[in-house]
Amino acid sequence: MMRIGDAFRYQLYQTALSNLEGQLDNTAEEVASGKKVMVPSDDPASYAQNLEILAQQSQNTQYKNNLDSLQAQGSYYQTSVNSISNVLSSIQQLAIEMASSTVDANSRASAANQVDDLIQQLVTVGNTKVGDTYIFGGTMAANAPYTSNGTFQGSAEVGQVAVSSSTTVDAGISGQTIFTGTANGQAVDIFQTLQTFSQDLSSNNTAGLQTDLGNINNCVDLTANNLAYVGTYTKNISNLLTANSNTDTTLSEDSSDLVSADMAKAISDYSTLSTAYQAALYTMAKVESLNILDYLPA
Amino acid sequence: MSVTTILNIAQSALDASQVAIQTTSHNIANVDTPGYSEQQAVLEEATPTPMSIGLMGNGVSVEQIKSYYDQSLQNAITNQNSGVQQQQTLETSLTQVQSIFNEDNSQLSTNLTTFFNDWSTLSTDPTSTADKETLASDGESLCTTFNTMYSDLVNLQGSLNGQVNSQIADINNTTSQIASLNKLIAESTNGTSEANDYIDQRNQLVQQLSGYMNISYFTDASNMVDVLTANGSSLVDDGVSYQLTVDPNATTGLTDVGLQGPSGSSQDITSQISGGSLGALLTTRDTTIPGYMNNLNGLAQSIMQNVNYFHEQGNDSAGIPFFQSSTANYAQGISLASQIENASGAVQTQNIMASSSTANPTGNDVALAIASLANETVLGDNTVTSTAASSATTPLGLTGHLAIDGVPITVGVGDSLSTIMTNINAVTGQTGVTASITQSSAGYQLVLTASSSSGNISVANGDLDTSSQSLLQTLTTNPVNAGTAMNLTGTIQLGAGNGGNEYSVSVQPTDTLTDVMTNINNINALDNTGVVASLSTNGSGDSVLVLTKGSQISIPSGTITGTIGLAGATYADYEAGVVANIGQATKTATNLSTYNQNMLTSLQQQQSQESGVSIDDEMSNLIKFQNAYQAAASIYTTAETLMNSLLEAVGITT
Repeated sequence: MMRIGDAFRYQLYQTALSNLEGQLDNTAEEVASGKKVMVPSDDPASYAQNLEILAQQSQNTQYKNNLDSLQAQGSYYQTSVNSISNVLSSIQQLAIEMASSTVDANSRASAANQVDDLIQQLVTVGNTKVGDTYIFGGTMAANAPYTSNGTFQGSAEVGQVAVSSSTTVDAGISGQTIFTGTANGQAVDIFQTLQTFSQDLSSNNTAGLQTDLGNINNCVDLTANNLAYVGTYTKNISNLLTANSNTDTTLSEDSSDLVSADMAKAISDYSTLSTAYQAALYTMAKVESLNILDYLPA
Repeated sequence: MSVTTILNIAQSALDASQVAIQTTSHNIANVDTPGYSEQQAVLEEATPTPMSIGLMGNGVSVEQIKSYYDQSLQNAITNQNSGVQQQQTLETSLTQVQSIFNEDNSQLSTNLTTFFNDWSTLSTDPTSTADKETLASDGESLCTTFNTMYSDLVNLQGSLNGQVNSQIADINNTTSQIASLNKLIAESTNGTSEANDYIDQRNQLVQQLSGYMNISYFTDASNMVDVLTANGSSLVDDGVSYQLTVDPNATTGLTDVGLQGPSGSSQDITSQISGGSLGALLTTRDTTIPGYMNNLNGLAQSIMQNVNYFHEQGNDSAGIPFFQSSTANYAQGISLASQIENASGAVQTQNIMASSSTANPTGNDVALAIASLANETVLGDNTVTSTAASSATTPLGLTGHLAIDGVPITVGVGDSLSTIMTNINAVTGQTGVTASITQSSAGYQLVLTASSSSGNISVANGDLDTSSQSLLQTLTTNPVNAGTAMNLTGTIQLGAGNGGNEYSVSVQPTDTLTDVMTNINNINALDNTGVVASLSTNGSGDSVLVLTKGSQISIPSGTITGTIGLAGATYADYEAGVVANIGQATKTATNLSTYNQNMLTSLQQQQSQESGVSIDDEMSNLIKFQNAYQAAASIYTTAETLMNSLLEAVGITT
């Protein structure tokens, strides 16, 4: 025969009810917070994995910030190289005119002044400053990289910027890359070429002007290449930004899969548990009413 | 046979019913008393009187008050209670540890990532004062996080210690009550309600005591319970109890549990207490929390040393640390260096380095290197060995930065286990850590051996590095064909201990013994190590290597203790691993707590069937005995009528 002591019967009810209450609390918290893993012990593996994902996501956001600043800088490079290209076009025009045998020494001298002005324009472009940074200074970007006669005082080196956990890109473009280089198989130095051109104009050196014309053509070609280079540089950064944004979406989804509550399930669990709780209370009340004392004469 | 006999029988029936009703009342009164076992008056017919017509009944007598309890069931409950209390206490204390590590509270992972992100930001604008201010402020948050988490652990340890002290007092109280009850039980008569009540109370106390700690106990011939610790030291011996004492440990400042034995001297029994709530408190206090403290220390140490390593290279190796350099209490004491934040709390942005060269003021190599630490594999604790590689000499494709006892070892993509080993062994003089490679069925593994000051292996003549030892032992003792590839890998370090340069001779799988000999002799020719190798060939044509420097160098055998290796995790992953670990421990304690509680409930249910008081039963008994009493009373009336009739018959009227 099964007989249960009264004290223990109450204890059983107590345990059953407090278990249900605990589960109800947890489910309510799940619904309220939208998270199914709230403390590590809820699901240690998922919790830890989510921590790792959140760390990755935070890093990824940092890479996005890095890319954003590179992209902003990239547009300045584009503008700068475009201006160089425009200046060189006008100089090329001038060089063609001045190479002609019909031009006299006076016209050439006045053209020399024009070229000097244009050189100053290029120096200004070379000393473009964004915030505190001279964008053509390389790793010595705190001071103006070009002197008024176009001598480079910056660094040919550029820093690296991390754009993913395994990739870095150049932090910018050094003036050295833009104003010097190789075109048509020949070494090109834009400032040097223009200085010589200006001197040849002043001294009315017709033979020199012919050579200068060839050199200026090389400068124009170098700048055309540079325009393409800057285009690729900025395009690469926007591609990286797209990849970055995709990574972010994937990480958010992964994180959500790991720790976010399935609302429909949580809410239906909650109502199931409430019903169970009510049923337990009802049963307890019913069973307790089966008390011998109610049936004994007073 | 007389009317008086009838009165006597009625008397006995009234007495018996009264005792039964009293017992029932006692049961009802104790329906909610913990540990109370239902009692019942055992009735027995009184010794009959032999008559000519046979035996005539003499009424009823109460034989004893029986207590319904099953000692073996009670023992099972007592033992189960030890497990329940242990797991419940573990659950509670681990939940507290968990809340310290819970990211929502600690923000360690967030602060860690933010800190390294700040370096990345600085790398995009290396001269920005604003970025440097942010960096110093986030660096300080990271330090504070470590400091707070560590001191929370210390406080938790202290609070658990307080609980240990109060439980020791509770245990003493319990054992002395058991001893008193032992005496009372020995003095009282068996089978009385009084004795039953004492036994119930004592059972309850023993059950409580086993909830506190793991004990063994038995009932002796005089019905007294003797209680022993796990190792058999006496806690209760008949009517005497021995007190536990609070003995503060001189080193840790925490309580050691002492036992004041019969001799009066106290012995340390801390290690014997593994169960019950006290066992759980001691485990958490002495093992779990110190373990997590070590994890935090390891993380803080690695960050401090690695960040400082790169930061000190800033501004032409100006040697300015970012974190205050220390050699102990890493998590507890980590702070920004005084060069970064001065005593009055002002940030010295000019001392925060982004570039390694003053010639390249807007260079960002330092900032970039520190930022990339976030993605690098860092050193774990000292029980992990590296993931097995299929070869010791092929590049692992890992990049990272190992802090070996404070000296950073950079691991490049092209490095093999063998390269890493050589790099680690090149700085053994500074670190006291030697690397070797073991080969097992799992593949090749890097094993780092930390030499303790006393366990240092002394090497003859100071010409060989300790790391060379096992390889050299093989080469000098196992005869092989000198012209056949040996498939051995390792490095022989020459010149260690001389205070001069150390030269490595690398041994590749394809090397023959002759190759090794030639390489050692080439190094001698180039760098004048003084160590000369030759071959000694035995009768069957196999050779061993002989090393001499003046006289033959003996390769000593030594004891190697402790291994450290690559955890294969970034800082963030390592931190997540620690959190997963504490989460898992808490989850296990919770599950075991539920399991043990369910087991206990099921035992209690059995006990309740056996010993519990049921009001239904008692009420029906009450009615039964009440009716019996009424019936016995009516016997009186009948006997009285009989007596009166008799008296009337003899002419006496009442």
